[in-house]
Amino acid sequence: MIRETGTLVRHSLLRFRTPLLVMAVALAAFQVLLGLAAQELQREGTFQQIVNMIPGFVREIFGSLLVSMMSFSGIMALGYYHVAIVAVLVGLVVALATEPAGEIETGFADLVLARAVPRAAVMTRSVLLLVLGAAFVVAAMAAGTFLGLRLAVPAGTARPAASLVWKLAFSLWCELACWGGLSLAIGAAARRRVVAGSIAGSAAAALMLIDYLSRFWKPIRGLARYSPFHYYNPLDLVMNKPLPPGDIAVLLGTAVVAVAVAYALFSRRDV
Amino acid sequence: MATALPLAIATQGLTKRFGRLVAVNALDLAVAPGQVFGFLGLNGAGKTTTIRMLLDLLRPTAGRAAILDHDCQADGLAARALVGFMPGEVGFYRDMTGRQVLDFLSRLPRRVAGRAWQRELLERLTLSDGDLDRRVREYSTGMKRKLAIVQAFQSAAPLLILDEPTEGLDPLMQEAFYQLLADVRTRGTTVFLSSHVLSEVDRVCDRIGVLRAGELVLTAPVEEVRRMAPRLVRVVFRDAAPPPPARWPSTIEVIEAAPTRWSLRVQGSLAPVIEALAGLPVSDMEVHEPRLEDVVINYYRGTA
Repeated sequence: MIRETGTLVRHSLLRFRTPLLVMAVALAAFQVLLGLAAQELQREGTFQQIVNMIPGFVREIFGSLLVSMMSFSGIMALGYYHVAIVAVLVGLVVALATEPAGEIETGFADLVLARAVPRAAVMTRSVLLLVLGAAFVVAAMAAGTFLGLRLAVPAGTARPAASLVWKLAFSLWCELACWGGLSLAIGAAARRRVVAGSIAGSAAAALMLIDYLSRFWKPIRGLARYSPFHYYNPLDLVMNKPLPPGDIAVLLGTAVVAVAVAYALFSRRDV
Repeated sequence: MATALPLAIATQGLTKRFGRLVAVNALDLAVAPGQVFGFLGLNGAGKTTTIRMLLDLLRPTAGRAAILDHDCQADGLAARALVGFMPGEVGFYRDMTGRQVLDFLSRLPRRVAGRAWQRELLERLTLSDGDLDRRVREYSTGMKRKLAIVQAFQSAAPLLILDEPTEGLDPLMQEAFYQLLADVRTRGTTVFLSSHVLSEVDRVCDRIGVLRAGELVLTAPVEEVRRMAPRLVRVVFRDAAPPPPARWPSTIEVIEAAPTRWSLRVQGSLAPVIEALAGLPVSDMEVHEPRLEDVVINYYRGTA
């Protein structure tokens, strides 16, 4: 199965190389720019001015998170927690994970699976693609962050530790792995890629919203536990909290279970 | 002691239901090795569903299928390693070139027949290097079908499963395809071909199976099927002929009895006609061989 999987992975990497490269370069560049922007804000003392301008009730809701955000490290880490960037990254893994549904829809799967290719090879291809694709983009972000830190010297404050960047990158990768696994399970059962992508994308948007609202709306805090975003808190890392093993376990555990479900669904379904 | 060769395709009670719809019902099929088997039926009769179960793309609701003694589900990889498949609707990625498609598919496991054979296929189907370097999105329907034929034939698979292979091919390419079929057949390859084109089946197949509403209603050698249809016999006389005998055998039907011409529909042997014509002033006689479609269409209609 290794040879077939290798052929499929190579084929898929070639197909996705452009979006992966574009996203990696764009996010790396964004991180470099963030470093330069953070340096400028730090130099002009703008962080404290911004915090002072924020209404009291907002400061009360966000508490120390706001202080974390309005710091050199907080700005440097913006790419790891900004809604738009996280949404784009989740969109990328949804696109990667729904490739099997797309291949069934177009009939390409017929050409592949009519040969002596085990169905598990198709799933393994997608899992490897998700792991490698997400790791590549996140690694590019980390590289951009390191480059930004190298180019931008924060005045009057210590340079964020390299371990912070690795922790941010790893926790983001775990979040993406979780969404990749869930999307793969959805895609393994779907006949049309657009359907699988819509379900996974809508679920991500809804759960992101629930997690966001739950931070200042107590009634839905219980619901937020079901959102993978609940277990991804990069600003806690910026505040020098350790990487929470429980959250990482939930994210990776969900990913593993979802991938197992995807294998089972794909092995039993009609193509 | 000679050992019997395994059947190229064998199904027993093969059934597929989609909810309430019974797409294929208790199909018992046997295709001997080396045959060109025509699998016929109207749209929705269950031909493609059967093919997809043979390739384990669809899972049967009941029954079993085997390819060269390998169970299509339990031993699907071994079964599919022996098959070259051309789908009815070809799903190539549009942004790949023809060459990339062939290279990619040739890297997936199957017996590789070599570049020389692939080159020969491309030449016979007039796919040039220039064509192969173009993206599939620029291909016409016929070119996509030719590429699909090459990918199915390029391995030395002992069984070819072809789902409506000539759909969209121009007459010249159809001819090239028939020649290709004849060539692989001489090498002992079994061909399982689904088609709507009865004249094509009549020409290339040894045996046919007719599927109606998911059930196999006829399976027989093409020659035998042809003999099921009556022949049209036209007899022309030099002078005025006597009326046809009043008591023909039941296998003969008089369609027309003009003074100098008889038109008869004859089922089976022509001997009674020849006997009746002895001593009559016959100037000409035409015998129209029955066509496969004369019989098959009745099976389609359910009137056979």
